[in-house]
Amino acid sequence: MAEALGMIECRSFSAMVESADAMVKAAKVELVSYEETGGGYVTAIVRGDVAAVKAAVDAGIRGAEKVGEVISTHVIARPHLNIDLILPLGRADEAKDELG
Amino acid sequence: MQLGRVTGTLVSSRKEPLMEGMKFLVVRQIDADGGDTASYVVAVDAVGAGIGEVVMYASGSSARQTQLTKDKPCDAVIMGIVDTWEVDGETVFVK
Amino acid sequence: MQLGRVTGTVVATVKSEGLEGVKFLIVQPLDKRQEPIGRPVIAADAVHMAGPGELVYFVASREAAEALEPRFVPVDHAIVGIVDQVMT
Repeated sequence: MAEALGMIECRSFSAMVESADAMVKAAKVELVSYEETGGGYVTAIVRGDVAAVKAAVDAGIRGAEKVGEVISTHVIARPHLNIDLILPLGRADEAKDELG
Repeated sequence: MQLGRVTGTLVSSRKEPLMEGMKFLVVRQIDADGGDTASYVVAVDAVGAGIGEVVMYASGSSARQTQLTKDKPCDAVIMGIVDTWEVDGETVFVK
Repeated sequence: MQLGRVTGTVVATVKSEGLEGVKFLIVQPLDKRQEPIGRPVIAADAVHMAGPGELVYFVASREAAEALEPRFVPVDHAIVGIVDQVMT
């Protein structure tokens, strides 16, 4: 069963760290990785139950806005296995197991 | 705030005119471990909760801090529908 | 204000207006010896930094909403600080 995916992209490392901290403290989600896309853009990535991820992302946005700039945020309720398999979203092994 | 489970609706046709058009729900207070307690409260619904749902309600003068209940004689308001909660790392409730 | 220990989190996506992004934590009130007293309450996190396991202090009743932005929200308990040390 694929877990929901939440992402917050910030333009400052410390804002991203603050948003990640707010997310894991707000609900039962796991911070699985972060992604640097250059130019100071960094994204924190969490996984968990849909409601928990939504609440966590909302709290994370509030946290990041205090520190820096939030560029974009997104929640995917049920990412496709193929997404998990290829992209670095913290669930590659599970996706591999499920595909057999 | 406290956690509660909506157990029923309350209809009152003769009431304070300021309270007209409000939806009242009967809420049974629940513990952090999910068990029912003996206390009930009648709360104004500010979020559109339904029977059987687990909700959060605020009491006292804070209950008047919604557009719906502003300056109204109200001391309990349902201000959130609970999706999940966890205690000590264990998930206690999932909607 | 009162001392408390954060024991858990509550997730609610449908919330009253003004509470978007506010996190709700389950707080067990403590006495001065840090022993639990009374029932746990749900408190809004006004410091945006508290998490499970932490020793915090919180305000109760309508004053709790004053700690949040916007202030006109139906909140009756709010965490307003994280405790580093208690000396009795």
